[in-house]
Amino acid sequence: MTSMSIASGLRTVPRSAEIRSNVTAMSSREVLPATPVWGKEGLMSSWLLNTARRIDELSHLPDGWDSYGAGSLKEETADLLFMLLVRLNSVIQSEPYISLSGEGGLVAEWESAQSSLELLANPREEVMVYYCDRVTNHEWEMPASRCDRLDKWLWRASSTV
Amino acid sequence: MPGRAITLEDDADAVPDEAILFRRVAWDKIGGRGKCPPGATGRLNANCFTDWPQEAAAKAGFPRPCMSVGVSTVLEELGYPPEKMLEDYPECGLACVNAGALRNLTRADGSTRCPQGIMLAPTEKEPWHGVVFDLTSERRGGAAKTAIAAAARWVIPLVNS
Repeated sequence: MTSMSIASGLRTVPRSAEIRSNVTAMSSREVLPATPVWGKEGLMSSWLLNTARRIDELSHLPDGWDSYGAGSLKEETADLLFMLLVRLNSVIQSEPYISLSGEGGLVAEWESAQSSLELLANPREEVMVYYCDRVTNHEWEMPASRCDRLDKWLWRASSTV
Repeated sequence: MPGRAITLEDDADAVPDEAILFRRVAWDKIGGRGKCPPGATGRLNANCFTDWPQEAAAKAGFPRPCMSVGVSTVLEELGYPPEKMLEDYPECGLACVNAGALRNLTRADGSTRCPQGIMLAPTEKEPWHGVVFDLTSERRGGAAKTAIAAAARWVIPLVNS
């Protein structure tokens, strides 16, 4: 699954990109590009590489992996979420928690002092956004395609400060 | 699971507010062991409290999505400790939440109600089995799942040992 699309994407990342996104590069406070170049010459955030690896890891789990009959990860759903993360890479400041949903989909989560955000991608459905402002306790839930504040929310929720 | 159609109906007699509801949690529901520092306990999240998919719920005879739990009062009647639920799933942890807390569930703002219904749904393998379903919408949304996660606690935590 991701073994086909995402992992094949990983294989097309130039060696130089892997080297520049390693821990040493990050610790030198390298400023990553606003827009990653996927499969061409360019840089890739280390969290994005880790996320691809995590998705690949999850793709090997069988049906029923959670003891409650959850479905195994569907390739098209993994691709959908991953490409959204690639597109939003420039506003994501930290690596998300990536989990499997019960329906063969993926959940990406961030939590900061100000807010929390969840992206839920389930098969045959639009990616859903859940955002909670932890200061006001206001919550929003909507399809990602209709969320005009997604950039701002992701920036806040993925803050490491 | 039952083979005939079942009506989802909150049953406070069979599952009183004082009952504790147990739910198994796998590492891959909470971001994976790799995101948990050595020696630390995994963090319960909204993804731990998802419904069965519609198809799986229908196959089990339920008219709409609902979530499996173990009911403390039945476990006690049968002379079993909560650990019984992990007998066949040693890789899982066990979370719990009070039935009354679910019936009086509110969103993060503390005032918008999102009550959950609870009923027994014993199976041959798990006579203590019950289901939880959203009383305000066909399918539990992110806000209600997050509220459940906030009300829940570990009984047998997943620790990255």
